[in-house]
Amino acid sequence: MTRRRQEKAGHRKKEIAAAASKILAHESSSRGSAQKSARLDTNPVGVDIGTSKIVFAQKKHGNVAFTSQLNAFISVEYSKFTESILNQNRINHYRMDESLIVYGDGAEVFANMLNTETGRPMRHGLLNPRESKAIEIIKGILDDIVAPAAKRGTQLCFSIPGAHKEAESDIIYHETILRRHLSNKGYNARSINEGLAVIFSELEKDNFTGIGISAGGGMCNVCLAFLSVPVITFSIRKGGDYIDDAVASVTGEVNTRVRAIKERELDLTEEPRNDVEDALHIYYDDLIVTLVKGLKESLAQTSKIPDFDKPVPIVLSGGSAKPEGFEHRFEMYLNKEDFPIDISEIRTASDPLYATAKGALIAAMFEG
Amino acid sequence: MRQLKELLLQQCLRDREDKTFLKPLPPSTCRRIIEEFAVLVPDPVQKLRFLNRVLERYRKTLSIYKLSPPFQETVVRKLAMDEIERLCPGARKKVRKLIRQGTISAPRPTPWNIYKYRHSIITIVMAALVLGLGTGVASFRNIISPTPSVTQESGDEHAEEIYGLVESPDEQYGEAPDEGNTKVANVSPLPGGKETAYAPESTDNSFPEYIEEPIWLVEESSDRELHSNGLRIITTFTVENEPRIYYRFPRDSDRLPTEADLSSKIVGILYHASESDIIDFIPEKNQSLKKYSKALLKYVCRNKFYHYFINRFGQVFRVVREDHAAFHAGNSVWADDENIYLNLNHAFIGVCFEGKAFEEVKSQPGGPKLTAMKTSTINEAQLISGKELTDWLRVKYHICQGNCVTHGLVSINPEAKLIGYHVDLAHGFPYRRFGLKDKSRCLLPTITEFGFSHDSYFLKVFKGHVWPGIGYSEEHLRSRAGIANIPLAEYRMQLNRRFTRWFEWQKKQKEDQSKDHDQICAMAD
Repeated sequence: MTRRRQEKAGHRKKEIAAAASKILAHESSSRGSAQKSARLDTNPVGVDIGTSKIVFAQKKHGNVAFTSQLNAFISVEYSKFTESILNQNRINHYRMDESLIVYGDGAEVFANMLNTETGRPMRHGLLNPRESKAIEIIKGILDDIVAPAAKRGTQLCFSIPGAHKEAESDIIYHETILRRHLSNKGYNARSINEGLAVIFSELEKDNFTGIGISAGGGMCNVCLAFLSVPVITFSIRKGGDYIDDAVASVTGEVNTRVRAIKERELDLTEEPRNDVEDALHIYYDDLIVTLVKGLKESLAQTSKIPDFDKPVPIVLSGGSAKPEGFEHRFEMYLNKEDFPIDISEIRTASDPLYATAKGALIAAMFEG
Repeated sequence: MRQLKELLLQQCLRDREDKTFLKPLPPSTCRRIIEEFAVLVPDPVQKLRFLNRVLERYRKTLSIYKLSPPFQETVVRKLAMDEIERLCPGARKKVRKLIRQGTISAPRPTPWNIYKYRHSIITIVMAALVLGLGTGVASFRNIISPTPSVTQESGDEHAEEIYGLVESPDEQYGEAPDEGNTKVANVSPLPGGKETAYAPESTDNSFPEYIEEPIWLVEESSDRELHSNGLRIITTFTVENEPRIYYRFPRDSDRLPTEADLSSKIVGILYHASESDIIDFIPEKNQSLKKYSKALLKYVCRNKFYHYFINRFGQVFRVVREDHAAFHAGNSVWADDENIYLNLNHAFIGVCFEGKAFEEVKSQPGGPKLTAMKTSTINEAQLISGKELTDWLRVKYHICQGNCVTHGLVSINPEAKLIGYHVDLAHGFPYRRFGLKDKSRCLLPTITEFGFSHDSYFLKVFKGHVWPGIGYSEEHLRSRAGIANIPLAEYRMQLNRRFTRWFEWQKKQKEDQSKDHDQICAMAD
């Protein structure tokens, strides 16, 4: 590398670090205060460990308080200056050889500035086997968001995906690693199926009877429960990431931009305005069709469905269920199928991003 | 890494073996009833508890009660009613009102009444059967051998001679003794089988397992609480200790507890006597009584000995907050139908009466330093307060009467495998005044589950008159060894080993927990 190029690279690094410092100053200060209050609490805790986000829920002063962190990381070249900026701004990171691994919310900020992709410690709802640093990073994010239990044996429930035919043993590994880590923090940690957590959160008025669907980043988790007892759980390995990858692949856009359009502008009730939106419509339809067919097949295959004497509701949650019109499309495709049980209504969770964490919290409070 | 993954997998699969994913659900008509009741619970967590408990209890209900749909509905309705009352005291009235209004369906009268009086019906049927069988056997014996058999009678007399069936404890408190309870227990015919813990009183249904009537907090101020049954608690001395967390040991298995057996629930009440110096309870000594009682209370608080302390005027003081453990039980063992509890500090609430039932004696070298007094110094005011406190705690924590016991009956010397390390309230405790079956006549888990015994020193303390439950338990142990065709000493050794394995394991867990907790605290700091 020539001296001129080295200087240019050094200047660019400083620019990035300074910009990151500004953006993150606000985020870190607000996050810090949330954690401080969490440290003093001994109330039960719910954690949604999703492919794209980790959400922490705890009841405080009669209300449920949520804190979240992006479940992502990025590796940047090590320099003392960058490290000091990260330290000053309390951005989660650690050093590995000649790299700095930035994880959590800070990772996305860096990824946007460097116009690159963040890495994911989880894939399809489970620890990412392709990522050697997955366990270390996810532990780091959990340590940042979940303070050690002030009282030993405090109940904590964390979400896990439903069983998938191809990866049943992987779920066991995933669950055990997370449970062990959280137990070491002093909690009495238990896992809860994501779909069941959605039911606990949203179907209280229906006596926890119905179908809960959590359409997340890595996969969609489904649970049919009767009076809080899970009857069927399953998952499909398609989620927000699948849509992002597929759309980016056919349109030539980077995933980050596709995700931005999906999260900020997409309205499935309106006609697509450009190629990216068109592709998003197509892949959302594909996701919903797969979900509906999977649900129908699971219900048809099982012999243990209880005798429902009245129609049951379906509740949709998760980041992928957020776009306007998702509920309508889901209903449309469901009506096309000859469904084995009667559905009373389809509705979206009051807060789709936090429904699973809230359900996990209810489960923890129930255990406690 | 691969090995670790495989190990984790195996462990997980083992953990999952016990878990049934889909618990059997009641039929649809029953579900409608559960849902009708569930609407009355406004809080989601409480509703979840309600549903889970009703379904769990339904699953555990004997199949005989679920033979036909009307009875299934009755069982579910009764369970739902009980649970709703437990979660929302006073809800029973609301339910009745809603039944009258037609919001909740009315029960079918015939199955409802049959189910309601099922215990009485079963008792009558059983009595009739036993009577019939007894008459038949007697006739048969007369035919075979006209000479009356004395074996059983002499056996009972022998047991009474050794264990000296003491006068009924309630007699000391002015109550009639429990007649007909002096026979040796009927034991389970299968070694290792789960038998009733109330050997001589197994047919005594006069004491319900749980108190169903609500008791609620009427008034609360910064220094005291008033409850609806008249209980007044002085709260100014309340101190903190360590949060409750303990392992339950499965009664019907030799396996060590798993994470699923970890609990922080209060399951029982353990009664203690302070066994402190006692001043005459007379008006002239009022100042000394007050002064001494206060000093004792301060000492108890400082050492976090109990959860509640009842002084000689019947005043109830909260010492250690209820959700924390107190150092009251030491090495101790008790069991209910499902679980065995080792070292009861975390699982039980400690209630201490200021008083004594043992006195120091001057004795020969090697003789006992203590001996049982004829009557306890615990007075009427203390008994009234103790009963109110017991009732309130039993309602609040849904404690079954079987788990309300005195310290003397549970205390052990783990190394020597001896019972009665502490003997406070081991004799003369008026269980019946507290609405409890007399535990001194019950089988002792320390003997039946772990083969503990007692020594001559112990006999001397009680002047040879130890409580009858010991005799029943020994007889039970002998019977089980006989059925298993193992010499009693060997059988006892086997049970002793079981205890040692569990006790050492628990000790290690406790040490590990302390280390982990210290590390976590250090990290948090």
